[in-house]
Amino acid sequence: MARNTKFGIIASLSLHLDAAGDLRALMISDSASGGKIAAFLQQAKNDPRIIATLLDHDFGDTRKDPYHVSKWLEFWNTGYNLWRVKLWTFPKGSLRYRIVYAYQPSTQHYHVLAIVHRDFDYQTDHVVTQRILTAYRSLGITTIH
Amino acid sequence: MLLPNASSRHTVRLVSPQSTEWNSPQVEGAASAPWVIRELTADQPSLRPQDAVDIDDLLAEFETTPHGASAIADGRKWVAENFYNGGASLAALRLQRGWSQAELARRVGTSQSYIGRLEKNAIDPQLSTVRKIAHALGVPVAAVDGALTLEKAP
Repeated sequence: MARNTKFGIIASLSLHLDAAGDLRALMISDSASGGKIAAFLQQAKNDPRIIATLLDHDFGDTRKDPYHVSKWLEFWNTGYNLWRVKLWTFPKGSLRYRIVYAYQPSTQHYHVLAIVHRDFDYQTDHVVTQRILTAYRSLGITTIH
Repeated sequence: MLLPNASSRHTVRLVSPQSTEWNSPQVEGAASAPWVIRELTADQPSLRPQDAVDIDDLLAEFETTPHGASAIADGRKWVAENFYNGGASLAALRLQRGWSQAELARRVGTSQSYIGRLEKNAIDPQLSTVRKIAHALGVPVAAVDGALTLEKAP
């Protein structure tokens, strides 16, 4: 969990090059959604109260909060520290894109690995899934959490 | 390989113990020292992978075009409305204007890390700074004072 103590470690966030490419592409194809996601990520980095919730499985599932956090259970259950966040839109629905990220406990660092269209549907054999797993492995995060 | 993130860095200020700025508890031996450490910021060097992109840098890249800047500003206003309920915290007041911490800092004449620490309630600003922030945001001083009080709320 992120901490915000006077001299403690503060959780941090960055984008994998693949995710940066996703966001650049989205800013061209759908800048309204891209702007919201970009602004969300920047504010998540800046606000410890937001970033701390990104490890809270099912946070926001009732739409009481503006986003829904979920483990990527299929991989979480095999030891991957992989998550996704969905941004609600009001009064109903959600943005059409999901943010997939990994968490590195040793450095309290969030690695955004992909911005994916919701139709991606987390299929394990999808080319984007394979890309995400490759990126994850390159980070050297332990697969036991 | 991990690199220090330029946007979060240690700050160490050295001032004379006789300085009017000196108001911290005296440390043994400090009174005779010509300089003492006055302040350590809350920021810890964040470690991001070498082949990663900082979100601040990426947004700065988007904001180099009018279309991108407009989309990012609209995104920040959306965050203000949906994440801060259109509230009156300092972060909300800033985001309602579509500004990054760096933009508010530029208008106030301070650093992004200072604004970040204010929003994290890590420091108490001087009245003169509160006035500058109020002027930049176009709100009464009392609104900024109230915003900073909100940041202190649990």
